[in-house]
Amino acid sequence: MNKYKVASDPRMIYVLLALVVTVPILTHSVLPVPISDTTRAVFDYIDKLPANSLVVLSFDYSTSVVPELHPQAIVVTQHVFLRPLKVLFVAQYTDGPALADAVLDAINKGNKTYGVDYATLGYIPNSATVIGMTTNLQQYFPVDTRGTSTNDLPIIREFPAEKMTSLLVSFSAGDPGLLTYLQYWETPYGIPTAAGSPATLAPGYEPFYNSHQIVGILISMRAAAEYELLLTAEYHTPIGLSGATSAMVAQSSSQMLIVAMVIVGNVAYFVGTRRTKGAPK
Amino acid sequence: MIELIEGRIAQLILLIIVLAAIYEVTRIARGRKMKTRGIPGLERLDGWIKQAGTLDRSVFFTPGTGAVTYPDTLAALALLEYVAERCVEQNVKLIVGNADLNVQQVAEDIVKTAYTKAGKAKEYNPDIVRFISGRQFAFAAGVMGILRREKPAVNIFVGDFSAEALAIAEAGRSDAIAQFGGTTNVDQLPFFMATCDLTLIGEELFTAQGYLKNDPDTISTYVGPDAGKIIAILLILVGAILVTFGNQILVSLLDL
Amino acid sequence: MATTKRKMTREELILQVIIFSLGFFFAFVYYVRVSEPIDLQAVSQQLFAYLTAMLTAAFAIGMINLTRVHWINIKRKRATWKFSVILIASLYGMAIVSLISSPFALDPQAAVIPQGVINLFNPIFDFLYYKVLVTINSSIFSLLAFFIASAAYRAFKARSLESTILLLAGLLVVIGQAPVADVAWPGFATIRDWILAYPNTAGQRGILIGAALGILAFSVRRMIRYPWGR
Repeated sequence: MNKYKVASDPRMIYVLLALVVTVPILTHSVLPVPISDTTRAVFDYIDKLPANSLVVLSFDYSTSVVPELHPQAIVVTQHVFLRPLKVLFVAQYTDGPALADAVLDAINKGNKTYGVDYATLGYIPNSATVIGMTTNLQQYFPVDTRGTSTNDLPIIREFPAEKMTSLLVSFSAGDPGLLTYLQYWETPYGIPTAAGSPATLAPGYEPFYNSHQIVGILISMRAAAEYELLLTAEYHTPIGLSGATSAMVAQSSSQMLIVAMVIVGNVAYFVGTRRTKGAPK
Repeated sequence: MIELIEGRIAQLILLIIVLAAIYEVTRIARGRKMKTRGIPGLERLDGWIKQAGTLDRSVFFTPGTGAVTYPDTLAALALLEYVAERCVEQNVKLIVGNADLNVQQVAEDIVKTAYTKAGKAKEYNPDIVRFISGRQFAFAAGVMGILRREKPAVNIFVGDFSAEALAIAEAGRSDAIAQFGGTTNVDQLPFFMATCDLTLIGEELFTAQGYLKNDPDTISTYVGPDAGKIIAILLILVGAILVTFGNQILVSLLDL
Repeated sequence: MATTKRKMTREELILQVIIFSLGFFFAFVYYVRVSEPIDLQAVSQQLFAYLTAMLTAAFAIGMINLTRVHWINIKRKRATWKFSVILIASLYGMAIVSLISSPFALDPQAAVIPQGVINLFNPIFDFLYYKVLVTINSSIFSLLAFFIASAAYRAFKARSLESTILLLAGLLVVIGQAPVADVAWPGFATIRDWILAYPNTAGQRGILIGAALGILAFSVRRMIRYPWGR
């Protein structure tokens, strides 16, 4: 049997990948994670916001991207709740409101009160709402997700227009998402924007970071692990808040496996080519 | 009161200049027989559809997961018109999978029209155009199932795709299906290139239908955007040189 | 194979006039603010709301379509009829549960639906949404890890100069992304950041500009010519 054929069978790759992912998770391995500049930029920005600033967290992802973006959402929301800031939760995906509720259930809300310090406004159905809510929030969100009139919420009376936002964080898994906010919030009103993105979309958001249109990018689960370590160092929050730190060994080993497979594939390719050239005609 | 919105004035001026350039170049191109560089391998699509007929297998088409308002989806539906007409002509079974309900309505209309134009209205079966799911990975799972069960000879997936594209492409690849992909989503293009026999990159998606129909009138309209690209390149070059020497005038002008 | 264009029918012409007018109107209000005698910005936002309502109404058509197709599967006992039963049960079951208990509930303040019923459905929704839907979606998404591995193994071959450059750049970025590599040598992160900030950004911007111009020309063409069946 040709050993290169066995090695190149995709099922062999799948089995190896399954092993290198499950073994570190089952053995609870931990790894130090260096902090990247893009993650630190988001952390520092939130940490330096003046008291009583409005932060808008937009849950622009669906349930399929939960493993990558949900840990980010948990750690950022916890950070915002640890500071004296006001928070509004919105979503451009239909799954967003339920995921926002899940994040609120996962964090320690301290002494923050619903309606005064934070509120969940729900789903943004179209870009007209994204545009309109910058000037008149109540017109576009007459009630919150709990059915309460937004007119009765002190946080909405304090911030009746989203252009008063001091920071928008969009956990964005595609369109609609970050690009909608860049177009209708950041460009006309200069609202500072940060992005949380899956690994596959991060290269597409790098140009916006390099041109300073966004203050930082949280890239995939790794950024959640980095952010969690920053939170622990600064606020002594428990490790394991988002579950991201424990997944880093699995992520590292799977990435190293891919590198090893690519090298093995190229070696097999060159050996195969040499054999074909050297074979008698 | 009428006023230009601040921050968009430079955009508007640039848009007018680019549109004027596109119009003028198109007008000049219309009078000549244009030689385009071609889209490598696009001519093979007809051959694949013919081969599907010879093998008595179907052609699977999906215009992606984008809404009907997305340009990628509209370009994909334009290509569906061509593919549907070829399939009806060659008596090849066509299966169309949709992830958006509004796209579903348009796709049904396009395929039905193709049958009607060929005088085969009675042969149209509503099951040809299927709504699979609006959820990204439910759609991917549905398409993977169709590829596995129906075993089409060609898998055409062009339009707006997110992460589900790789799942669909790998499922097709493992079943040794000829694959034709295309999108403007730069994040998914690497996966298309790695798994498809033929990939339409970026704006090639918008030119595919005209190129296949070989309509000189339509081809001349594709030359126009090149004028816009030249303007963009000149702005980038001039801007990069000015900013390197510390002059922000172009940046300030574009911020108007 | 050149095709001859037929003349537009009256219906197509009317539709084309509507398409052109609305397209031009929305482009106009994006750049020009008109507050008197009519607030055009408010008109455009209202039109957007109508568009959303129309697009949402299509969900009803989609549900009817899905139900019809799968009901026929069940009635005729086709090969996959059991899956059709599961699909229809899930479709309507989840719809009812979500309407009673979810962030989109019809009556969150229990004005009509008794609070006891809402309390009964809350854990059902939580289970179906977080334990079933999120898990299933994440599982299918996780298949991508395996597919990326096999696609990378197949695609990253040093067949030519360009593919060798692609291979090296890809490997360096993958290594740079792995936390363990950063611990081994911080230079990997620097190389990764440089590749993402310069060649990647340049390539992405080139494709984005080209695609944007293609979209611009395509949209103008669609505004001027009726798109289908000509």
